[in-house]
Amino acid sequence: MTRVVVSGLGTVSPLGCDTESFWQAVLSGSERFGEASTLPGKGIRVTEVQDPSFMEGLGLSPTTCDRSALFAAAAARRALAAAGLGQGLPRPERVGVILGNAAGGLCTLDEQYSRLHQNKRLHPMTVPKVMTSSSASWVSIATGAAGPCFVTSSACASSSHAIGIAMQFLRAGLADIVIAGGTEAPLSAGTLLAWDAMRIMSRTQCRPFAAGRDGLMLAEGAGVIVLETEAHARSRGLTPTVEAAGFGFSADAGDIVAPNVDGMTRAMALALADADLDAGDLAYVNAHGTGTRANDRAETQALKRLFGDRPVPPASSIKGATGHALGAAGAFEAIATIMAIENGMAPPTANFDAPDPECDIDCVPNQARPMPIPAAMSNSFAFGGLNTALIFKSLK
Amino acid sequence: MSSEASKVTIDFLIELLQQVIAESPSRGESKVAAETWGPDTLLEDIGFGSYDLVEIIFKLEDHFNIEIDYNANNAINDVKTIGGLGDEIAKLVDKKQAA
Repeated sequence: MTRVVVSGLGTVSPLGCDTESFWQAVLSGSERFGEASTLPGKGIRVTEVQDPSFMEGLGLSPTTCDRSALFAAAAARRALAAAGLGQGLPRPERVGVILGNAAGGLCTLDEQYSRLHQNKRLHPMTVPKVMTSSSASWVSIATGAAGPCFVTSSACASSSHAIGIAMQFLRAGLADIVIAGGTEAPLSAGTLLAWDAMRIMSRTQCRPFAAGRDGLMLAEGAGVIVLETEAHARSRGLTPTVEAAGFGFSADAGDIVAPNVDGMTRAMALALADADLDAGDLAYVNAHGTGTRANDRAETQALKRLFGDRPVPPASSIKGATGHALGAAGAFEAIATIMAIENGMAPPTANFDAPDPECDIDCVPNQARPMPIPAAMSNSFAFGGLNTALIFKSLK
Repeated sequence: MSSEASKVTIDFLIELLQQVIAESPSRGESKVAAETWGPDTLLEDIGFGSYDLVEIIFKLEDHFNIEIDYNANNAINDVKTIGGLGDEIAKLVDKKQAA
């Protein structure tokens, strides 16, 4: 089977607009949460991309692009530069764009509905800014990628689906390179209030797997991975260090919000089979770990079921540092997993206060841990019972 | 609103064109320096895209506080020059202001 490798990474995140600052902040469990600027006085804490410099040199404008598309285009440019493709694409028609996005141009929607309620006309670019596929289109426009181009939308698993499907496209010979990942800009007032209405948002800290966990915190940004067939990467003179080795996905066919241990376990088992690995080959798991009572308990059970008699390897969630960026979360976490392999370092679960007997796994509490990581898995489990697991392997 | 302010002068139109094109730089690059734009400048040479007119109409509606009877399928889209565009827009604005 055609081997798919990682050629470049790019992020625009609340933890920094380059992968190195993102990674360092993930390792230190950096606390960047603050009150949402779009909703002052409500006590809703989020992580925002506060540094507007990610827009520099992008040649795109907020008048025509939703915030989610700006994030995506900037992250894609960074990832291509890291892949040695910053000066142009070899055969643009062989370069695809597959991005995850959960909910489209939410900031634009909020802004325009606000005009509607003031009896003002809507802006003529509203439709092209709001459409969910807009971010993929803008990445194509901003990079010249002219191959298969679309958005996958599966709530919090959106970008993991995008990365997994990109792997299949490359294996199937439908492209040489795919710009894969995800983007989300969900911190509009309306979206935050909708999430708050679900009563699952923490007012304190995001503490995945910890006894004191009291919910998730939303975030924004984009993560992009340049995936490429190994042969194509080597033909450009690259020496790839990480393989995108496995993808598994499943649907619970159950509840619209409650997590399901069976569905989670099936996705992980399928990813292992796809990567031709046994559970025991995994040295590290980057967990979905949202910080809600329900997810973290179910994910712990699923991991224990997957590993059976064997110990569950260190399994941390970076959401204590990043927050939950919904359609970008899987991409952030796949990037952290790849960097964990490259750097031999398991990122910590930040803000861990005390163990919860229902989450009795080694979640790498608070301190990053140096360790060899030849293979690792990244989980994303979405509302609606849509589960994904990605497996990356070291080629060193 | 003064009668002066209610006219779509060529300078005002050029200002709007520059705004709209600056806001959507990916749509094309001007082959002609902005300070030399005039009535005979071809729209295709200034990076004017198919949808830019909609945004100009939107800005004019805001500026004059009127609703302009314009549809993106109108023949106005066939004009080739800044001057031609100005004439067509002026007709639409005058028609509305006369109403």
